[in-house]
Amino acid sequence: MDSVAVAVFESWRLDIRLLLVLLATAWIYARGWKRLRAERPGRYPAWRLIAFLGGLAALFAAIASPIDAFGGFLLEVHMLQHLLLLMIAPPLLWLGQPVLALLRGAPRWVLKDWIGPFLRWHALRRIGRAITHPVMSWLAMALAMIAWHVPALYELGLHSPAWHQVQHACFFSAALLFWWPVIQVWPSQSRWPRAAMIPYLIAADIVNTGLSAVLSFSDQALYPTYQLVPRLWGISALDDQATAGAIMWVPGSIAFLLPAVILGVQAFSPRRTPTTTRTRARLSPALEAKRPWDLLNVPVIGSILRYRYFRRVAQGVMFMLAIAIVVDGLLGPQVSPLNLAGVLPWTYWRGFAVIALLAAGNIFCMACPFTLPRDLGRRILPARRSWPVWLRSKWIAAGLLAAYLWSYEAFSLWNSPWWTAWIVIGYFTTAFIVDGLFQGASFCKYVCPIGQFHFVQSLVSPLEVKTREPEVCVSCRTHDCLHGNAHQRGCQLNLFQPTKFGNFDCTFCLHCVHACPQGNVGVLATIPGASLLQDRRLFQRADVVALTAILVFGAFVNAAGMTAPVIMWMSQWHAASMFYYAAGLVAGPTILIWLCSRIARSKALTGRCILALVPLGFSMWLAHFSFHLVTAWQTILPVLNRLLAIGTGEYSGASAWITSAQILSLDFGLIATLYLTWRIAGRVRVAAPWAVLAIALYASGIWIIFQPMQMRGMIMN
Amino acid sequence: MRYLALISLFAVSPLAFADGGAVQFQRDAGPFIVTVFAPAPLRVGPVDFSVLIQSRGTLEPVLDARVSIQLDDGVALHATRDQAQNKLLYATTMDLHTAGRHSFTAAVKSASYEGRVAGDLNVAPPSSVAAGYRGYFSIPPLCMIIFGLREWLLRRGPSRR
Repeated sequence: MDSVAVAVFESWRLDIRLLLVLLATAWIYARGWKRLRAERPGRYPAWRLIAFLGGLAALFAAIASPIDAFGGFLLEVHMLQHLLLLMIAPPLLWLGQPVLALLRGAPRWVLKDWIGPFLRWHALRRIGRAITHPVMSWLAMALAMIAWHVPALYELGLHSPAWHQVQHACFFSAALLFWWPVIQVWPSQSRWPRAAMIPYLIAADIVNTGLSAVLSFSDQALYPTYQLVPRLWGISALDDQATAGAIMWVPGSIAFLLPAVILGVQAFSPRRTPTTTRTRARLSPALEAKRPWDLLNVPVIGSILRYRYFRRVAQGVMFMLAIAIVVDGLLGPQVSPLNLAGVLPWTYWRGFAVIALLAAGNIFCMACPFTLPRDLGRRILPARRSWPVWLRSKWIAAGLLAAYLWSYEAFSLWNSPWWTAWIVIGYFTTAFIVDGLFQGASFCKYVCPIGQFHFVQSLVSPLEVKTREPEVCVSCRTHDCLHGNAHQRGCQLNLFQPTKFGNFDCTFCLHCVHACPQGNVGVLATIPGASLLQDRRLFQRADVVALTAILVFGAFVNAAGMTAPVIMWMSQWHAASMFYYAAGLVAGPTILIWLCSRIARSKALTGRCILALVPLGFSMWLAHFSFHLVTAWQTILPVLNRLLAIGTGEYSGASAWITSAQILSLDFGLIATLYLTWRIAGRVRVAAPWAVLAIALYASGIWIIFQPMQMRGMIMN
Repeated sequence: MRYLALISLFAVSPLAFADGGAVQFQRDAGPFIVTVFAPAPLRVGPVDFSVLIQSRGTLEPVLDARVSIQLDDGVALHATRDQAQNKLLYATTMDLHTAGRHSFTAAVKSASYEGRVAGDLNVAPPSSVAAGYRGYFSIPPLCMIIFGLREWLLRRGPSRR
């Protein structure tokens, strides 16, 4: 193949958003198809799955393949793109009978709580019925085809990417309507006799033929753009237009007339009696079961997690990295981007930790290196005492967290490998002493600020360590998950599985998984943030609420601290950082929360409404830390170059998509917070002030994203 | 004044879209035809430029050239096919710092020819940075509307026929 042909075939647009949407749709359909096939094998044969996936593939080809890249140069390629959107993708999608399959494939709670109310809405059903009437469907298709081929409108699509997308959306949605009565998508009912679809299709072909004749036989180029763009391979604009007309005419007519012929044959064939494969009365028990998805059942990953020494191995790796950070931080060059202590914790670890929280759960605590010497401490020190009752709260951790956030800015910790190394040493020492003197995981539960960060943020994680079948625990008398047994330690944080909810205080150590003699504890899928809706005493405790407020407001204060306006302001005044953090973490939140509570006039719900801000706070942490990770993912190279003489020393710039991803993160954080607030408050008067606070935090997050940033501890071009 | 400049830009630019936007200008350069594309209207900020090199005789795209582009007397940036969606084009992103008229130069080097083409570009004042993210900002209000509708439907109870 010559180089030009290779270049043409390589001209794909890999838009991650489009890919994700199509893959998610395919996955939901396949799930639903599998379930329906078990119930009605006759109605959902394998070819329907192939047809639906083929429809998605045609859609992807139209939008992201070289066809899209060359549509601006050649009208004939552009016509091929429109053909895919009008005549290939929609009928294939409908042949997959996707309505019920997509509904059955969607998560049950989405179907019940979110889609159900709209499906039951009579007005919406009436609108649906009206627009899928064959007359409306036919008119929609004809109008879209004729209108968008008028030169002024076609040129509009060529000149503006936004209008081009509108054009494609019009074509695709009109075609979906047009092909609906032709395919007769189940469970819709036929409005006209099937035979009436034959003239319906022929009439559409007449419109198509008329348009293609105009394109084919016109003696002038109808769309001036194609005269201005460079003519590839010497194809003249007029020849290009004639070929485009031919493509519209011949394959287009086949697309209309072939189904008409098939319908004609069906109409004149003797009727089949519907005898053979009727519905099964019930789903198979396996399908009926409502068991949530369990990470431990996933091949390979599940086996690794079940491996008794997995945590030790993970901790060992993290321990070695921590030692490397300490050694390099104390002895290496005091230039943050060239030192492991400047790069690993501040760029990589924070970024990966928040992404792990978003994708799975509290993975950091699972692999925490600081608790590795705990066993050693217990051998040397007595560890017989219980943690003092008066200290059994989150106040120490909340104070340490606020102090850390302030000192991060005041001492530029990100820019000091030496300080970073001493923080790690301090962490090891404190963990060693606390867990050496006191029973259980007192350090994790009451002292560790990093742990508290993960406990709170993992409330919006999609996985939770939880009992698989609660009824199994009813007959349990040994409570091994809590107390442990001869072979396995129980939960060191005193979480009893049957009463545990959410991820709060859970370090994902999986001791309970290994200890349960029934094997009834798993890492189960959960609705992110659902535990925040539970009315638990824990969420009304002042220490937990204060900790949450520090983490929520701290997300915004910490991120704003790296923006140019705040840095400028802080540089003008010696004690500014102290004032900034005192105001941002303590005074400001206290005043705002007091105001919201006063306006809402519902003191009892104040704690829970603050907890509802967790998704928004997490979204800001995610936007902030992932920004550092993405914009400086090559920062490790100069360090490797210095230590191991590997790495090229050439670094590419920041990715353009990160801003979009940051805004999306804040969008979803705000939506989740507003939803939780509404569910907790239940009334507009109570929810309104908290919603206003959430929107104000969101707006400040957006402001932060668009400010010039100080690129901390990074090598930039 | 800036709006007048913008209107005049629309009026005089021959608009045609390809990989990187509209045709900004087309010049002959030795055995080649060089076409420069950029979004229209050009605005202050990062801009994707793409360049198509064609053989003058056959109009066949030339894929083995080295292309660099320069604005006024600024730094010349290397445009490559790797950076383009359409792999017949050479593309790069350039920061346009000021509005107004700028001279633009594309240097082309191949085994048989080395030369440059030049033209003028009209750059409009910047639009708001956030304006490019309107779609993302519309997600929360849209979700609020859908949620409001859902709540209304739930409170209203099952609809009557």
